[in-house]
Amino acid sequence: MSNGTRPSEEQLKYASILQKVSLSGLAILILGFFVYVLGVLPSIVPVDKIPEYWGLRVHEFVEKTGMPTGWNWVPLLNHGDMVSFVGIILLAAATLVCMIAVLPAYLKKKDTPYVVILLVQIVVLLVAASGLIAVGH
Amino acid sequence: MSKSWRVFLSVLIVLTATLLLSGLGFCEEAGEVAEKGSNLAWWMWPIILFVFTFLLGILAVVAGVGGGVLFVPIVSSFFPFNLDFVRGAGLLVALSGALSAGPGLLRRGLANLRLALPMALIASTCSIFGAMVGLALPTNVVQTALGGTIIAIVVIMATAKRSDFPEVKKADALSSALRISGIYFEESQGKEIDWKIHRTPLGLILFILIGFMAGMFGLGAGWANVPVLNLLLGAPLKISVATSVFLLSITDTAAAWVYVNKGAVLPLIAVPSVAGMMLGTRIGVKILAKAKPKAVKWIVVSFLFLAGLRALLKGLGIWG
Repeated sequence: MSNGTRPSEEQLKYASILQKVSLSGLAILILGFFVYVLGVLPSIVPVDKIPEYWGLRVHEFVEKTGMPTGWNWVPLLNHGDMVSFVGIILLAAATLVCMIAVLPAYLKKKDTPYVVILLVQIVVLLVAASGLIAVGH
Repeated sequence: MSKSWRVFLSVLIVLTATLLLSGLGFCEEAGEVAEKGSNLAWWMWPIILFVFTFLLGILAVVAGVGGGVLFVPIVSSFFPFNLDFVRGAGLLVALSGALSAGPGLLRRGLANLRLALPMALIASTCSIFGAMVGLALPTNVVQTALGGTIIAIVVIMATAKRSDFPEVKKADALSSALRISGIYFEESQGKEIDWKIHRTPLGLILFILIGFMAGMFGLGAGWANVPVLNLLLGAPLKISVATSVFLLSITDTAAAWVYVNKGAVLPLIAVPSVAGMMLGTRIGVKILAKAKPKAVKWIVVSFLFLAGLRALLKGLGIWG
C-alpha cells in the first residue's frame, strides 16, 4: 500500500479498537446466551415463559414481566437474562469507545471541524445510551 | 458454475422458499400465540430462527442485498414476534454485521472515516428520533409504513443504477472544507484512483431521512446509503459500499440504544438471529467467490416484495 492509499493513523486506530470491542461483545453475547438458556443462573423471566410474551408490545412486555428498562439491569447482573445484555451493551458501546479513543488524534492535528463533529457525535451517543430520552408508553 | 454448486444453491432456495411459505401458515396463528403462547417447545424457536437467518445470510450475500433489510420484513411477516422485538433484533443484526466488517474495510482504505463521520452524525441523530417514533406509534401504523417502505426499497433495488467511477468535475465547498477525498488502489485496473465528492449539502439532507427510517424500522440502510454516496455524492462504488457498511455501525448504534433502553431487545430472538446471519454471511461470501447468479438476486428481491406486501396488508388489517 503506497503512502497515498494508506489510511490515516486515526482511521487505523479506530479500526483496531472497533475490532477488539466488537469481537469481545460478540463473544460475550454468545456466552451470555448460553448462560441464560442453559439455566446456569436464575432468570427474571424464565426462558420457557418468553414465548408467552413476545407477541406483546414492548411496554406491555415490560409491565407483565417486570423486565428492567434503561440501566436498571446493572444491579441484576446475577440473573441469566441480564448476562446476555452485557454482550449487547458492548456491541452498542463499540462505536462510542472508538470515537472517544480517536478524538485526541484530531485534537493534536487541530482538525477543528472533525473535533466538533466527533464531540457532537459522542454527546448524541451518550444521550441515546443514557436512556434519558424516551417517548410514548 | 459447477454442477455441485448449482445443486447446493437450488436446495438452498427451495429450503428458504419452503420455510417462508410454511411461515405463511404459522404466522396466521401469530395473534393466538401472542395470547396463549406457542405450542412449540421454547427451545425450538431459537433453532428455527438460527437456521432461518443462516439461510437468509447466505442469500443476502449471494444476492447482493443487505441482510438487515431482509430481516425485519421477513421475520415480522412470518414469525409470531411483536414488531417491536423484531426491529430491536433487526438493528442488532445490522449492527453486528457492520461492526464485524468495519475494521477490515477501514484498514484497507475502502471505508473512509472523513466521508462517513459527517453523514453518520446526521443519520445517527435522526435514527434516535426514528426509533422513538417507531416505538411510540401503534403497531399497525408502523407495519403499514414498513410495508410501503419495503416496496419502495424493492423498486429502488430494481431500478437504481450504479457507477463504478462517477465523474466529479469539482468538489463542492463543504466537502473541500472538510477535506473529504481520498485515493484507493483499484485491483481490477491495477492503479490508484483519486476520488472526491460533490453535492454534499444535499447528501446530508438525505441522510436525515435515511437515519430516521433506519431507526424507525430497524432496517440496515445500505439500500439508501450506497445510491446517495455513489450516485449523488459521486464517490466510487467500492468506497460507497464500504463506507455505507461502516456508516451503519454508527447509525444503528444510536437507534439500538433506544431499543435496548426500552427493553425491546430480547436475547432469545436477537442472539440466534445475529449468530445465524453472521455465519450465513460468511458462507455466502465463500459461495459468492465462485459465482454470482443474477437469478438469485431476483428471487430474493421477490421475497422481499412479498414480505413488504404482507407487512402493508397486515398493517391495513387486510391480511393476517
